[in-house]
Amino acid sequence: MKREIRLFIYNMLHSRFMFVIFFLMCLLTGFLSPLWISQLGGVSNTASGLLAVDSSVSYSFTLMLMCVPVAYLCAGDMKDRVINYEVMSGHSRLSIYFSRTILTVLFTTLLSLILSFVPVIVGIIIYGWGDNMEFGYAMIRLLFCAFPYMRMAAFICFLAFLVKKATGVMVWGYMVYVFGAFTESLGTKIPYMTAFKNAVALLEFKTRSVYNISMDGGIVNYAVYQSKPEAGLLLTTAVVSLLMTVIYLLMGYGLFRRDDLN
Amino acid sequence: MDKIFALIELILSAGILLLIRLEKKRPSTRWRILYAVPFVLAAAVAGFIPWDKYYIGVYAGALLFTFCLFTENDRIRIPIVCCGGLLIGGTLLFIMLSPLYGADDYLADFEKGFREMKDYYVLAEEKEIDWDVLYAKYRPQFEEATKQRDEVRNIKLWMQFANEFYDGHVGYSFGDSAAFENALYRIFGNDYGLALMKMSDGSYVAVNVEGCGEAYAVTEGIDDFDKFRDTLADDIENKRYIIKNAGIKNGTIITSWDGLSIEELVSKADVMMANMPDAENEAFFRTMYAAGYGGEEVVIGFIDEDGSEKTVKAPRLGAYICRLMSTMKKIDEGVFISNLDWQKLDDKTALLRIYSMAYDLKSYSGSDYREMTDTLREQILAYKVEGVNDIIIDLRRNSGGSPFMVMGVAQLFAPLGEHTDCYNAVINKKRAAYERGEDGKYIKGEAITYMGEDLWADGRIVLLVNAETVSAGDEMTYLMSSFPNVTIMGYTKTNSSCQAVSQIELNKGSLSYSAVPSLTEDAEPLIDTYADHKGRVPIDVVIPINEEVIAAVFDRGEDYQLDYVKEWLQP
Repeated sequence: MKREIRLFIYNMLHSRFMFVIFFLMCLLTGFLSPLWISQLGGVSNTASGLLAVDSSVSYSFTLMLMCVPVAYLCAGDMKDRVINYEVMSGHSRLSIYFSRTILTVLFTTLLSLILSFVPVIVGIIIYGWGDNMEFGYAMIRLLFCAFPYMRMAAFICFLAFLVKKATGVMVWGYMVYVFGAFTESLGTKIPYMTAFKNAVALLEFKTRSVYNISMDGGIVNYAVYQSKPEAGLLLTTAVVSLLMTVIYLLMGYGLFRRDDLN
Repeated sequence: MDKIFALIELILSAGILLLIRLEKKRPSTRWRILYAVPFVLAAAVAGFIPWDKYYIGVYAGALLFTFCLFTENDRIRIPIVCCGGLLIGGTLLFIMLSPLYGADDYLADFEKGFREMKDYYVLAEEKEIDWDVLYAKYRPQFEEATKQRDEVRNIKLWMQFANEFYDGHVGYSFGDSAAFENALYRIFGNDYGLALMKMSDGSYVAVNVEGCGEAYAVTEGIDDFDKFRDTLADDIENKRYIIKNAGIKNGTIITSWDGLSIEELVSKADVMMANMPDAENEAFFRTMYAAGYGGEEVVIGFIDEDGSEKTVKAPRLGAYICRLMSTMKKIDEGVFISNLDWQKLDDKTALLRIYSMAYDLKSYSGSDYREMTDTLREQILAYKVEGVNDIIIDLRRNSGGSPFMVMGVAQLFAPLGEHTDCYNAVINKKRAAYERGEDGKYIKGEAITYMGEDLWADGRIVLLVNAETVSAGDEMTYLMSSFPNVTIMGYTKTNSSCQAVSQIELNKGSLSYSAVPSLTEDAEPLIDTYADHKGRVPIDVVIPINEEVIAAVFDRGEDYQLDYVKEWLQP
């Protein structure tokens, strides 16, 4: 197992393209974040305002790009038949598969989480957190996005052992994202527990009609957002995501265990 | 899409059985990929269209097929695939035949409405609402209504739930108006040709009796109730005058109802359309609701003209809701002219009708009512020149509206100087709630003030109100009650509900509730009743409900309250 982990780390450290993409995306979202915040309306121009009005800045780039690390880490060396050599050198398929996929899922989840935090952190540095939401609750919601990211990464791992080409994995992974974005553009929100994009539910801050009477403006409406997550949402997201992660990984192994490795 | 999805999965399960045979004939490891197809499809469907608990068998069946990825033994694979197929087929059959599938989920509506009200209802502490008790009481009933697909019960439960808050701003409205109308026919019982009313001396009398004077006629219907004719009993013409012919007329004392005393009968009226926060108002109106109780026929005991106690078997004529609404309207309706219109009653008295605190769309959400105030001022000064001494402001059935319009009217009559209408409450935007201090009271924000002009300092003003004077109507009464030349009069107090309202959208309707606090100088919620159910808007002259009122309103169709006020104003 140690050997597989070392191999994975070697693979990871030599995936320069993956890191370049990741840092470019961090730079891009970090650069765009203050621009978005400066143009917010109806809420204070702060990081909490950005999350309240358009939380998709935290997950849409992530979901779009998470196929890149999975493709590189899981299927990047399949073209060179590294797996074949590993099998031939006497390692069990079980250890080859699970060391590769579990580490890929964990590392991809970590990268995704970092990318999700970038626009918020940059926003806090430049504009401050603001008063639209409770900081702690919003952070809990962001952290829990790790679970749907994990599920998505596991599904792309499954695709990796089906397609067995890094470029193919990226294309299929991106297609999954595009399909999700397309259905959303049709007006279908996808906040369901089993959905890939469960991050939508986690980062959907319910707004309510709160108003006051004021001498100047008469009836003044306030954009008030509910940041406290429901325990049920967090629990089911975690449980269902972990369950689906296990199922996808097992299915991937089901494919791999009888793979001819041609 | 949903049933098609289950059907596709069923076809795939048959395909997998064929696949197992095909794999024997043409061996290849590539076939194994196909075992994953049903589950990937199921996951995709559950991911991109709503997860549905009724489809759990389909998801589980699809998952079973993936076990074929781990074994090549047909003795294991075939039973697994058959089990998966049976699960999917069974689920498909269930969703096609079960009445539960696709039924309206009233319980889900309750859960949502209850949760949001618990989080945001601003008078919960003041009214000592016990959320746990309410939840334990209503959740099982909504669950039962969902199981039985009982729309009427769902609506009745929402009304009863709203009644628990004794707050005129808590109310449920059902999305489908025809279904709502149908539910009201059933919820409020049967019409036996009369309504009941509690007199000021404590006795209960028949009012709005079929065939007597200006009473409601069962064949007429009321307001927007289009389908009332569907509820009429057979042979209605022969039945409708039975109680009148037996001797019951408007004002006849009713002593018993189907073996129950009237007090017992009133206690059976377990739901009201609108909340009456003040206990006295509630007792008055609950009596009216009670006369819908009974089956196809009820035995009514009454005191005949000769003083003897008699009974009559009153047959069901139709649905009681129409007579109930007619009764409330006859008692509570104000002068029938446009909002903010004036009517000169005689040389000394003018009447201003305000049934809604709304002037126009432009001003409604703002604070600028100068145009309205200027128009009213002009008329008031003109009446002053004409020698008018008394103004009656008719606020009966005032449904509320903008507090700034209230001030726009009140400022004309208020003593000179600055007056405070109320204070708004400080919002904690992070918690999406109004802030309470350490003493548990809301924290006062900006004072909402106006400048008094005292245009009518030498004259008298009477505010004519009733229990359907609500919200901003309540507020205007409360505000003007402190002016030295103002007298509040009516059969009952105002409704006593004054916090601003918000609405929860539910699948089958909507729930309104008090959501924005308006506060007094002491940071108490303005006007609304506390757990003692006592209205805090004063009433100076309670017009007694007696035989005179009944005869005037239900026999002659007169506006007794207005006549009483005119009489009272005579020097």
